[in-house]
Amino acid sequence: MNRLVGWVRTALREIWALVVDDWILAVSSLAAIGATFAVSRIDAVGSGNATGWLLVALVVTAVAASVRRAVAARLRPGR
Amino acid sequence: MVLEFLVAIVPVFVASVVECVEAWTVVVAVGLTRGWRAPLLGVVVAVTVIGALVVAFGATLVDRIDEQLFEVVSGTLLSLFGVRWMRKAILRSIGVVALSDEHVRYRKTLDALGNERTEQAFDWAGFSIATKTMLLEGLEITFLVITLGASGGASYPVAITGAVAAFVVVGAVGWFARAPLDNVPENELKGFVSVMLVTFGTYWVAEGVGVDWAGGAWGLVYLFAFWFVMMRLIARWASRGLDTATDTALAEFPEVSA
Repeated sequence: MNRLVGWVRTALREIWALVVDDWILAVSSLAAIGATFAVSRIDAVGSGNATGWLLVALVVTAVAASVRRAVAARLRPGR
Repeated sequence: MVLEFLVAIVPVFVASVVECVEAWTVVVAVGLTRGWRAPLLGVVVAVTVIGALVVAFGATLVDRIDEQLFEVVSGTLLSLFGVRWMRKAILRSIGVVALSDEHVRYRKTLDALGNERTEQAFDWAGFSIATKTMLLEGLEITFLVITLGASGGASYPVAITGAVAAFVVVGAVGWFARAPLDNVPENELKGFVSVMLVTFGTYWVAEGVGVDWAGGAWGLVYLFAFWFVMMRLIARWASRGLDTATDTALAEFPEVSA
C-alpha cells in the first residue's frame, strides 16, 4: 500500500513538472495572456495586430527573465 | 490545407521522436539486463492508456468546444509548454543545465534496477519502471496531439499519424540497435519544437481574443522566424552574463586557469 502511495506521489510530482518547472515563468506567461485579453477588450485597440505583438513581447520578456534568473542562480556563491 | 497538415504533423512528429527516444532508453536498459517480456508489456499498457486518452479527450474537444474558446485554452497550454521547453533548451545550449544524455539515463535506470535478471516469474519492477516512463513521456505527446490536432478539419487524424509514425520509427531503430539512441540530436530537436509550440501558442491565444494577424495563417511563418531569432538572442544575452562572471573569476583567481 505504502509503495502504491509512493508511486502515485512520484507520478503526480512528475506530471506537475511536465507543465511547470519554473512557476514564475508559468505565472508571468499567464499574466501576459491575461494582459493581452484585457487590452483586446479596449475598443480603440481591439483586434489590431499590435495586440498580438504585445502578447509576443510580454512572453519573450518572461522567457528572457526566467533564463537570466536561472543563470544568476547558477552564478550565486555556494553553487 | 497544406499549412493545416504541416501544423498538425511536424511538431507532433518531432516532439514525439524526442519523447520516444527518452522512453526507449529506459525500455532498452530494462530489456537488456532483465529480459524483454516485462518492459514490452509495460509499453503495450502505456500505449493503450495514451491511446484511450487521445480518443476520449480529443473527440470531446473537437466536437463540443467553441472554436474561439478552444484557441485561447489550447494556445495558453501550448505557450506554457513551449516556454518551458524553450527555457530548458536555452539553458542547455549555454551550459547552465546539463545536456540530455541517453547514456546517463541508461546508467541511472540500470542503477535503479540492479544489473541482475530477476528470479521472479514476472519482473514487476521492470514492468512498472517501463510503464511509468512510457506513460509520462507519452502524456506530453498526448497533450500535443490533442491541442495541435484538434485545431480543426482533418488535423486530428494527421496529428495522431505523426505521433504513431515517430513511435514506430524510434521503436524500429531502437529495436535493431538494442542500445541507447544517443545519435539523435535531442537538445536541438527540443529547441526547434519549443519554437513551434510558442509560435502556435501565441498565434492562437491572440486569434482567440480577436486579433487578426496580418497575412492570416502566414502569421505562423513570420512568428516562427521571430521566435527563432528571439531564442538565439536570449541565449546570447544570457551567456554574456556567464562569460563576464568567468572573466571576473579568472581575474580574481588566476591560478584557476593555470
